[in-house]
Amino acid sequence: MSRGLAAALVTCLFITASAGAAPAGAAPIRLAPGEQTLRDGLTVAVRQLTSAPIAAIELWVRCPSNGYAPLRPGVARVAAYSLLAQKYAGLSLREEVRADGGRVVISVFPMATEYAVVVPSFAAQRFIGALGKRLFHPVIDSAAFDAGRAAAGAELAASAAIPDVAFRDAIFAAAFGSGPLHVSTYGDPQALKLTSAADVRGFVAKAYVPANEIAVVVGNVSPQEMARAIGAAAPLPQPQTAMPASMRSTSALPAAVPSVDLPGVALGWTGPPVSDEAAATAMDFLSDYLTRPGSGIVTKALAAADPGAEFSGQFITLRDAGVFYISVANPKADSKAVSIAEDAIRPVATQTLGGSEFERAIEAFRTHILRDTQTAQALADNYGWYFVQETPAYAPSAIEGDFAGDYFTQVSALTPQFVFETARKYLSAPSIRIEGSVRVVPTSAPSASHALR
Amino acid sequence: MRCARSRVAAACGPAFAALVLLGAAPPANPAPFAPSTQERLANGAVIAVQNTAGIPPLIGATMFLPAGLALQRAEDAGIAALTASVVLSTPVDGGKSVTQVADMLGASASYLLDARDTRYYIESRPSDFSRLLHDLSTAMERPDPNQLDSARRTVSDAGVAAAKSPAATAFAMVRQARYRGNGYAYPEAGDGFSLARLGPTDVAAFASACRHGVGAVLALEGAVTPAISQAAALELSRLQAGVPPAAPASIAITRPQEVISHRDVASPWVALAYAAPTQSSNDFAAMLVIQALLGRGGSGDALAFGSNTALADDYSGAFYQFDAEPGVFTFFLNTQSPSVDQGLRNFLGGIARLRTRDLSSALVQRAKRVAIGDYYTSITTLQEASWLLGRSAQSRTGVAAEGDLAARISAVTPGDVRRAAHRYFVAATTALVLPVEGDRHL
Repeated sequence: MSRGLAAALVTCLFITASAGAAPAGAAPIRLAPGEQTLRDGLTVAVRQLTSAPIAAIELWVRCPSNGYAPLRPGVARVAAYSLLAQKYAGLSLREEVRADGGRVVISVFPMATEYAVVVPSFAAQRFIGALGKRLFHPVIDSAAFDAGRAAAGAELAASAAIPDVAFRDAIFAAAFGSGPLHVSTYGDPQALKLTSAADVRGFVAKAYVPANEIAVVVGNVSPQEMARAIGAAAPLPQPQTAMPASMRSTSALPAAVPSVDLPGVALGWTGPPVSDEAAATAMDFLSDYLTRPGSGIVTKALAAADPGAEFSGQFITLRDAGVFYISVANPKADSKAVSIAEDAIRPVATQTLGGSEFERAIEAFRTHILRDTQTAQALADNYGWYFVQETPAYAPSAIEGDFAGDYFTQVSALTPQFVFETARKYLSAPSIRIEGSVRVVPTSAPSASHALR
Repeated sequence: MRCARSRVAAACGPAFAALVLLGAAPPANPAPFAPSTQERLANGAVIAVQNTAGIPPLIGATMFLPAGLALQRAEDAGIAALTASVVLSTPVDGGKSVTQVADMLGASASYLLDARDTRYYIESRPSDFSRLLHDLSTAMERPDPNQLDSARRTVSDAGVAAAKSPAATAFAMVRQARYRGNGYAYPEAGDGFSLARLGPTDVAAFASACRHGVGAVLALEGAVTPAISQAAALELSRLQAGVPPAAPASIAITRPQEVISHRDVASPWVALAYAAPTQSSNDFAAMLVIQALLGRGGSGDALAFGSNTALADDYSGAFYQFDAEPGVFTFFLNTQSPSVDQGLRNFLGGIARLRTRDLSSALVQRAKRVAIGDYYTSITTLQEASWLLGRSAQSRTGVAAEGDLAARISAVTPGDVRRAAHRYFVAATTALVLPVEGDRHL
């Protein structure tokens, strides 16, 4: 497809009428095409996608999952489920969405909460209003709080049985000694029990402010109509509270790593910050090459050794230090799985990929990105995630035409030598090893402590 | 690229969510789908194209071949899956199979089976698409017998994995009971013995018998250029003219049936199956409204239909199979009680209300809104869109069907709902998957 055709078909909206300067004191951040910051600090992205009769409407809130002082692990999740349960005219958001055959998904990350609503495109404007009244002007009554805390408790219980979640939480707990990246977004039973309605309301009052938020609409919609709807629903400016720091772990083992009561093993490596876009892109490429389901080098090696093993792995892009991890969950998972994984990873950290293999893998990587961002929700997710990491223009979704945009520009600039140097720097040896039922083993010299905001 | 979601809630949902999604109805609002075209080739095959170019620059293509599970016989059950697996692993392109070439390019090549068709799916960038389609066509013509053993292991492993799901097990029992006489009664992977017996000649014969233009549809979705669709038409014209074998009709079910199996499950699973209209039936839209009335699994309102009667708390969801002939509508219950009687009683009470009285217009109106929304939101990926395009191309009204369905749903009346329920919700097949506790079967 020609770039011109694609550009003509993808309408990226610039909301100029209500645009204004970023709030005083905030670092200037380069936005993606189609994004704009309103006068109150709310960031907005609207994009037309004609491939399906739906729209994804998302609101991302940049906030710590364990709250501000006093810390309450899991409070962001309780808040999210409470807001989801809050009734307006007798209906919760879930019920409103369901009435139109849509679905709502809440995802709580260590440094963000995401609300995603997927509805028929004809209903998109209405749901911008529905989300706006709940999230831009949040109210939580006691019934909603009770329902939210119960839902968060149920998720906490369920999460312990999901290997990928349990191992990933343990990797993060080991990689970071404190802060939101150290604690599970699910919290713990005691913390949930201690969390009061006042805690949740206080958290929401600090976190759910326009400067922390991006509203994203992607779908078969009129960008102008969506822009008007968001403008009508947008909140008033409010002061922003700084994200608490996460400290990368130092020489001492982290004080608290959650137990993984599942058989298996996980390895973790600390990677570059997203601000080092070249290295972060190289890590994404390596992650794709090594761990993509079905075709990754590590994936295939582990599957050949134990077809029943449940493998998960990826590089997680984060503002100040990304994390590459793999986990293998299976009753048979043992040190053999570790050596298989390390053997499969080692070549990329000890030699450059051959030219033709590198070219092939890069092309495959581009195709994977396109395939992974083919839906309205996946595109919207990308805008949200990179907003939270404060690099919105670097979002892989932020393209016009074939492979334009910051992300794909970085992909095009990758060379075998640079990828090798990145792998040698960050993947030579895992810094964290988690074994089922938790034994944390530092396997390399610890890096110097530094603060992550 | 970004953090994986922690979708615990999704992971804890009904085990057969995928089944429910597949059954989620396919479209009364302004032009929700991009324009599409279809053309019938000299050999009878149909090519359907929907250009939704833009972002992402990808093509998703589903090749429907009239080689579905319904054609299986008891002695060769598993043949459709085995043939498809052999096709995808046949070396065709520099010694590489379609799947290997797709992997190499970052694309995908896969297959799915339903009662009527084997559906091959290719997803790639436009620049790679024609190569992959050519590779697939070549492999379909000459499936490599040397791939038989590894393909058999793949099919067998998939069968073992499927059997671990109690909902899938219950649905397999429903199929076995309701499609007696038709190949859809047998599992994709056969019964183990049948799969083991199948040899190269069986695969070659099945592949050849089903490579006919009549009944074949190639649905192209995404960044499809005229050059690509012309090349695709050429590949499709490689199918031989003529009519594929017809599947035998299944024996009509006129009385209630009950089938029981004991498995390693924590609590009983029940599948209650009734006849249902196929996609081409005039009752299709009414049945989609009924599906919407039932709510999603876990809904406290399921089967209450606005009444104050005890709710069916155990209702876990429904799967509407409208691809098979005849269709089947299956309700799933996962009861926490060792006895399934109460759950079944509640459930049957709900069915009786549906069959015997007109629901309020307001309730049906709400259900229609849900049904239309379910339809639209079930189409999000290229694979889903190309499936819908292909199924529409197979219908009497052609590709326009995908745009017409929402209007058909909008036209459903309370009387239509009652009549459909009354007509179809009789002579249930009840499949019970019960826990095994020591030597004692509950």
